[in-house]
Amino acid sequence: MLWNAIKLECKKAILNKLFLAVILIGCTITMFSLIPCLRAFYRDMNFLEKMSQDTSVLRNPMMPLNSLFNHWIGSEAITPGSTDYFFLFPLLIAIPYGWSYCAEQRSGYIKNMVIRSGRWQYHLSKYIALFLSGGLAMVIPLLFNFLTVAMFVPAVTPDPHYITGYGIISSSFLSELFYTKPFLYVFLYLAIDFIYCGLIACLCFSFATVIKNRAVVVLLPFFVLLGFNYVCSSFIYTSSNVVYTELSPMNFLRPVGAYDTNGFVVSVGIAILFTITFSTTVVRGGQSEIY
Amino acid sequence: MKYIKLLWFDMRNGMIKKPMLFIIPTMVAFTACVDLTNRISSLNEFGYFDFKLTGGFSDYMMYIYGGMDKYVPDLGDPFVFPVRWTVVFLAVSFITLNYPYTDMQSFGQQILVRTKGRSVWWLSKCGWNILSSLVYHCLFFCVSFLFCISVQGSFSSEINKDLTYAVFQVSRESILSSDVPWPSVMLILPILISIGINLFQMVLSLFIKPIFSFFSVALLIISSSYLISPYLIGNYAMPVRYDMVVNDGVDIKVGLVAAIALIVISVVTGVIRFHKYDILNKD
Repeated sequence: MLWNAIKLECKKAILNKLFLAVILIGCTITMFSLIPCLRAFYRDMNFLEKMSQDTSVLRNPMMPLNSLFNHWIGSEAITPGSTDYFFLFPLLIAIPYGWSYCAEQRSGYIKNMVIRSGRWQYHLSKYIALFLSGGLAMVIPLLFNFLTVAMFVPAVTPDPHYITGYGIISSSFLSELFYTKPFLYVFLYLAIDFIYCGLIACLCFSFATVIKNRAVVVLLPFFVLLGFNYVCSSFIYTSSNVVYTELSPMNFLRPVGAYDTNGFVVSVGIAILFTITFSTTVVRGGQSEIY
Repeated sequence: MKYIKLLWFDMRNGMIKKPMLFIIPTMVAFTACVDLTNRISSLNEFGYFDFKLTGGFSDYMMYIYGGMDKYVPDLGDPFVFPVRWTVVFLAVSFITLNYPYTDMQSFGQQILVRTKGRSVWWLSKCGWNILSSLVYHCLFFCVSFLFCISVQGSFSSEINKDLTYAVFQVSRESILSSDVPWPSVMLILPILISIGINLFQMVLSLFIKPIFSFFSVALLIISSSYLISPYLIGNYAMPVRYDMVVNDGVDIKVGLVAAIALIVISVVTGVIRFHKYDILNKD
């Protein structure tokens, strides 16, 4: 019964027009990172070609600087595509299915579902579906960008000698992996983004248990993250002479930023988000009456 | 008379019953004032100015609405969006997003039938939107005013140039060498732009879902902070990017015209669109 409920909810969450629209919007935004990055790559290539023609011997073409791992959207914070995408992602991940609990409560669909599948099963399957839709809505455009850049730019392993060209220094989160196993680094970052965005999308479910308005429920996670970012920038990152640890998910879900994060912050963030969302939805919903 | 009644109804239901309209600007203004006071103290300790500076009312307002300096893409300087400025402008868009839509789905339908005029209903929503935005922004001024009294700051109508350049970390090339003082009147334009953006969002909600209209506004705001361009209207809501403040800044007069044009076009487009809008087909 639980498996059927999960399948049904996932199907509703992923095979809907809004999910498709969000993926299209996300991929379109990533194009505004792809185009400037490819332009920069070909400019550098043309320059190298011209240099080799002029001087006949090109001793150091500095190929690690022109790598897939510093040209995809997650590795740069200077193009409009990257800026827009990592600012708007809390909206993009909530739109596909964040509204569903509100709508099902209003229409009475929840009563039919709970009678057929049970309270625990219904709430757990809704939680899993929201988690997956949020995670996928974030990761699919990133993956699309990574694969598209990979069609043009070679996957040269980053070299620490050219550290200024990457923005990832020794204190950066997972920096060792970046310079040794960059594919694993990208995979891990996408996994972190997936988990975080899944949990942030589940915040909609938590809000929907107390707020009845769909638009408010979908937009609130964005404002929670923006508010947290505001608190960090106003009260924590107060000195320009100190290197702080990045606490705001709006900033650390992108590998490069003003400050670096660490594994502890990432893990604690996941634990807090999971506790809040799971206890207010599945645990509470599984015990309370729907009528 | 009919219009006044409708507007009063909207004010009661869409403004007085929205506590966030009052809480958010109060909190943001207070935290911004505390933040600026701390920054001034550290600048004074550092000996940045030749004398011991105290913040004035205009400086606090500039700190809230200022925005950010022009961003020049550089690998060593990742883009960091102006959080305070974004919160100020997006929070009011969020607060004013939903009321017209929910009203239209519920009680508003009865009013529309009884008043026998769609234009009046729409114009009352425009009036409500403008007044809500004005109240929201007035609270920033009120809280800053009270804060300024409490810290015994000055009430000069001029904005301190050195302080502005220091706290917004304006690059040396952008600083304008001019003795012309900046009047605090230039802080009115961001409010007009905010009203224009909120009305634009309300009209857009007649064409697309409110969530997507908010998404469009958020995209416009973040794109404006990234790129300095006369075509991105958000730039006119950042006094730090005005031509009287920095080199290659945006023209304040063009901003004024753009804001008024946006307000007028939004109201007129809304009236036209709402005449043919199906109020029953929504969820």
